[in-house]
Amino acid sequence: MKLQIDYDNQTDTLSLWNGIPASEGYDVAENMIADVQIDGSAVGITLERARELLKPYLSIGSYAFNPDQSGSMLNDSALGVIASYDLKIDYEPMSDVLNLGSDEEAIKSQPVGDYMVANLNRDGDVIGITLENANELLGPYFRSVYDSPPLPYTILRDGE
Amino acid sequence: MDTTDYYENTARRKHPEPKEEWIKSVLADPDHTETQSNGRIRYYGYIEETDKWLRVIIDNGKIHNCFFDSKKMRKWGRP
Repeated sequence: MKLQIDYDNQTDTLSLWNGIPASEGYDVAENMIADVQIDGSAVGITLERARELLKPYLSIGSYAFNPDQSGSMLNDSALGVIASYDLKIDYEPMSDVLNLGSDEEAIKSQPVGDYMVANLNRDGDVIGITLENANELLGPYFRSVYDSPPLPYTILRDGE
Repeated sequence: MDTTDYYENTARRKHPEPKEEWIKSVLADPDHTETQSNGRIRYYGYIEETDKWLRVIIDNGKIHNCFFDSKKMRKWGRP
């Protein structure tokens, strides 16, 4: 199923959605909402502060792979009055796989759309997602004309 | 009430069930409110017709997102 990607620059909100209308939603972690059907199956996610959170990982093109962009972090958004449960972000640039979600352990997964699966806990609740081709899919939304590949970089040509 | 582009272009299509009258009633008389770390405010109201809690998220005075929050029923039950 084709994954619909919508990013709203004004509100810095990202939606990943397979196009099936959701009946309900709930918080997965700070800034991340699971969109689900009445039977609990995931149809997408909503990520707030998306550019702010993902840009450090996805702002560079694959042409300029930087090993420093790998790894994971917890966001620093535990400042609100809502009981916070941090969003964990893991990105592997070599495989271009992005994991978003809580710290909870996933015991199974559910395909949502092309390149995206929802990771579920024992109760079947969405605790995160795994997105393949993440930089290819999302990077263009978070790059700007001010982002340029780190210099110097080398372009290998045949015979060199 | 004003809405964000995100609500009009995406959130509304993704969560089509909430009726405008329900949204208005929640905003007029919420049972709970919460402030997100990014300053957006969540308004919650129980909708009898659906037996669910409706969450309406407001961004700078505009409706930004709206959906039935399934986990709030587990947490709060019915009012």
